[in-house]
Amino acid sequence: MQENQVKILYKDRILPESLDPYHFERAGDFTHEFQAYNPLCGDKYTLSLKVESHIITDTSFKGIGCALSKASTSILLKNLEGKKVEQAIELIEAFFNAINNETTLDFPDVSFLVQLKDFGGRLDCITLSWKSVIEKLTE
Amino acid sequence: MKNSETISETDIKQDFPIFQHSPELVYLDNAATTHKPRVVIDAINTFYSKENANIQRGIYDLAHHATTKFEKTRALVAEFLNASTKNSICFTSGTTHSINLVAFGFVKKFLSSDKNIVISILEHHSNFLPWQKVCQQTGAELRIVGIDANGDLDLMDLSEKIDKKTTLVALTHISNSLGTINPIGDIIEMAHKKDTPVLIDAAQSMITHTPDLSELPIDFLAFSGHKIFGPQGVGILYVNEKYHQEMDPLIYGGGTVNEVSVEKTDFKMFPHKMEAGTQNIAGVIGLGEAISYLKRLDKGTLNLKISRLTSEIVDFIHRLNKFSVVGTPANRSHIVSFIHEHLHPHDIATILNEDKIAIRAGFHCTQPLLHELKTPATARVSLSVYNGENDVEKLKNSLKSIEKLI
Repeated sequence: MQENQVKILYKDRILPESLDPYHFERAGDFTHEFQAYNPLCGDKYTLSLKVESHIITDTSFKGIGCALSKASTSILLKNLEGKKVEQAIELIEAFFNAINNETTLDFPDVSFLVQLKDFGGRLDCITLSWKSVIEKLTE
Repeated sequence: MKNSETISETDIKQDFPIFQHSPELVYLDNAATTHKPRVVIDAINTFYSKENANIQRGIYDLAHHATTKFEKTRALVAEFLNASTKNSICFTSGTTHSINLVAFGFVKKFLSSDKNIVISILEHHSNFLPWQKVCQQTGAELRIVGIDANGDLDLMDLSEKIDKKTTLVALTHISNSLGTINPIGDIIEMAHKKDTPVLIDAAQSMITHTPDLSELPIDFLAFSGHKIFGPQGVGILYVNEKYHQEMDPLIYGGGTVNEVSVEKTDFKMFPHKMEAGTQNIAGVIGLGEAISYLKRLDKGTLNLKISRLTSEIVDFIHRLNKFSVVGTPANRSHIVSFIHEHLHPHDIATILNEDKIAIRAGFHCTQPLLHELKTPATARVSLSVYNGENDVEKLKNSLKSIEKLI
């Protein structure tokens, strides 16, 4: 990553998303509630999904974590809403494939997250909630 | 590098090859591990290149030489600590191993449901989990001494928690999270008045506040080599002679016995009965070289420099609007924890990393302390002898740039 690119990304993309995260602490009538927890750093979110007729119709999250994990969770939930469960799983799998350099990804928001994978030691922050959601959806 | 002369402040950075390899590196994570001077790297290299042999059991020159170097390091550690005998020095894999040896090889057999262990909320998990576990196994009570609003140990609380049923007081010398320097002389006196032995976790204190055992009657002392310029994977447990007999090994095997029969085993005396299996010989030799290096440093000048730079960082963070220092102990060592009102410490560390500044962020293996302080994590800078004004200036500039981000 080039010099100052980290600060620019923080200023322009990560902080705006993490300081005003999507559906953060939003109350609702959810069908699934589960945790995303990283014991190495202490980031801990409760993720909530409302699934009706195999479609994710509402999302919310609450908890404590860094700007990266919060921004990533915010973007994830934004992109899950309105998708069928199968489509949500496909998106998350595509995200992990892109993270692992196997494919590219054609979702503007999510592609921005993939760019961040080279942040030293921060991959866990970016993927934390994504792992928890796919675990829950494929149970 | 001058072997026999005192090493001055300006010579120090050039003794550490990492700073030639990465001249821009501002390394402020010395509480996690220190870098290694060339003499230590060379000593390990020399051992493996020219002197490699297992110790104690070989009747040939290489083995004899390896054994001599290994045992000379034991004597060197004893001399460094001003211990009365080298036989009080046990080689371990690090502070964690050392503390576990005391918990499960000594204290456990004296514990029962009416006994207690006294520790503090400042402790690193390495001086917390062994005591929590040993108390759970025996039904003993784990008493945790609190801190005041500044992050100083509550000595009144400590005094009240030590009683006739206290089997051990186990405390850190310097808090790895807040930098608090505990008054271990007073603490030892307080515990000994109640006939309670004391373990000191000296993982953070061996460079700047090396305990002098001729003045401080510490019963058990634990520290790691890698935090004092030595290699990872080697550490020390000092045990006062009066407890040698009662120390039991946790690992049984070769090198620890006088005689073995089908029916029974006669073990060697401490420390040899504790050092089962092939030892980390190169690590021990590297540690010896690190201690020799440390002894040649102009400690008075360097401690003053570390203290001045640490105060400069604390004062600077106090002046920033969005940052705050966590803990303002009366006596602070080389460690400063801080937080930002919006940014998580991991984000601070990532941004500083872009400016080649290495700091640590997280809970620093002190989760009970951070729960008490009601903060999920802190950013932590920790200095060592090779840090200078230039490093602090770069840190200040980066923190200023973070202030402007939000």
